[in-house]
Amino acid sequence: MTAVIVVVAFAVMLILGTPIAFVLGLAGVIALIGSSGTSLLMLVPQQIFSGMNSFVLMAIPFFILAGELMNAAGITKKIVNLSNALVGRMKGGLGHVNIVANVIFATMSGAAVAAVAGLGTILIPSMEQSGYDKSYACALTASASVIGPTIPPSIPMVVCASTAGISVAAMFAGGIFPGLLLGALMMIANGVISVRRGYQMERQTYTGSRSDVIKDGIIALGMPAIIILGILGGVFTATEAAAVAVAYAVIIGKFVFKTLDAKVLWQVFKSAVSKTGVSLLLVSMGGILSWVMASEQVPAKMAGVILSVGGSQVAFLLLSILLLLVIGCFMDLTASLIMLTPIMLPIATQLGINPVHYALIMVVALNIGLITPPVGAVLFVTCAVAREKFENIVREVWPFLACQVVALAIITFLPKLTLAIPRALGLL
Amino acid sequence: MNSNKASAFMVIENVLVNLCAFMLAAMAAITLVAVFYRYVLGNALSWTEELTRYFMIFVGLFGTAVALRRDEHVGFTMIVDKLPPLGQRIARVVSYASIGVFCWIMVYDGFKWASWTGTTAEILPIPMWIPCSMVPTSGLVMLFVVIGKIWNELRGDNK
Repeated sequence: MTAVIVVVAFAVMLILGTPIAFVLGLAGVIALIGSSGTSLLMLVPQQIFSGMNSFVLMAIPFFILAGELMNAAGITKKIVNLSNALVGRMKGGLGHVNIVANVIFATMSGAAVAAVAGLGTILIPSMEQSGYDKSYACALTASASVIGPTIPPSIPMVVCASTAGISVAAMFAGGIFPGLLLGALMMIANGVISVRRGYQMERQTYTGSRSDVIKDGIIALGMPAIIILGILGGVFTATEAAAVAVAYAVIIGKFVFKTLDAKVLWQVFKSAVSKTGVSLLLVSMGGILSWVMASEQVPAKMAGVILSVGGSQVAFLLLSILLLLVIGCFMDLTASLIMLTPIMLPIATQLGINPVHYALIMVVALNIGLITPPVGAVLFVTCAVAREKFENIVREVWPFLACQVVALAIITFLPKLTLAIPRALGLL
Repeated sequence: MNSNKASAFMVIENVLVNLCAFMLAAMAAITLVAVFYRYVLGNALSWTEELTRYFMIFVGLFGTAVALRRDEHVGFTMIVDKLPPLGQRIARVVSYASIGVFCWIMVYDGFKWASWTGTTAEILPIPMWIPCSMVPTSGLVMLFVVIGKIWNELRGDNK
């Protein structure tokens, strides 16, 4: 009975547009009252507090800051120049530049939205000038930004790892292969489409001397080197590496590129405040609901059902992908991870699937939801950044969505390949 | 009258944003100091982790209030957006009201919980009720924000 009320209340609040974080919290409250009256409501503030009281989660505000600082300090622009020097001469050059720049940006930032805001504002107008359709430029930028939360560092991976109690470093290492695979598949798609439509067949030129571009690029690349080598090599925790990344961006923005002054810097810190609030609230509210679910043994019961119908690994993985893709179309990425990880990951583990492998599948599958209609967060940001209509972007996004689904299938069904890097680094 | 009320919200928002931005900067700085002590001075500090965690909870909770004031929390608005203006307004009022109920639980049960925790913090020499009372205090700010939002919806202006 309580379960029915919880589900109905959840659906009604969601449809009314109540912020998902509060929907999660209120669903938890209703479930608590249903099972034990108002006497246990003290668990709500306690869960909010302990949900946020985690050193691992501190990587989230730091990576938000690092991404914003890169945009404010003009590091993003240097990345575009470097990518241009690397792949700008190929057919469909700027499209490839876009993807490569996103791969590089991904090694410094943990969220897709920062990539769209930073790279999109630079690359969409210049792609348009070079004769690409605007809607294509937008769709490519949006799709390529999904590489951001796949390649380490990654905010969704921090959320997933801390919810599941698995190693952030192992997940980060596991994200390298899926991210590069996504990039490679999208470059193939961009190459084919560019040739068919005749986008940018002449050689691309770029401003500035090649050595300057490469020198600035190398300075900008110091940041990912610190983050990735530091975390994977066990020198720092993800949180400490994120703090170092913030410091690196501030220092090169202020002293090397001389683009950051105190006023801009303060503005960046201020703009990270409400973003931090939004992410941390989701995490802690999800904590309330998953606490209630765990105390009602929901994951164990669901696992029992799936195991009793003779669920095999393959059937479960297929079912998971389908479920994650559908949920990703409608729900926020962090909220979905918070809700689904405590239910699905234990089932996967019982079926003998490596938890890091399954967690990677969850992140990659839900990331795809960032660029699917009707509620793709990244699509909305792209619309705002480029002032392009939602429908036009959606029309062009399909080939890239197909690439991402293919990548997801490879990641899911070839665990040896997906887990090769974390295994080689001794993180599994 | 209305402009006074609006400016009261603005002042609160400004104070909170600046305070939280300072805490964020302090979190990063303290974390770097901790790394420096551990690697360069070979002498790990014990208090840094707990302090930065409490700072983050502060930013998380009061940043939540700021985001609530700016309507930045993500929701699923695809269906509500299709409603006529009156329907949208009703949906917003109901949704703010349910947030208000939640904030009230944060305030009421939060104060009960905070005053009930008798322990001291792990390493910092402070009683636990000090960090714990960030939950009810931020709940109070959010309750205030939500009541203001409902008031505006009922009066019919969207500012």
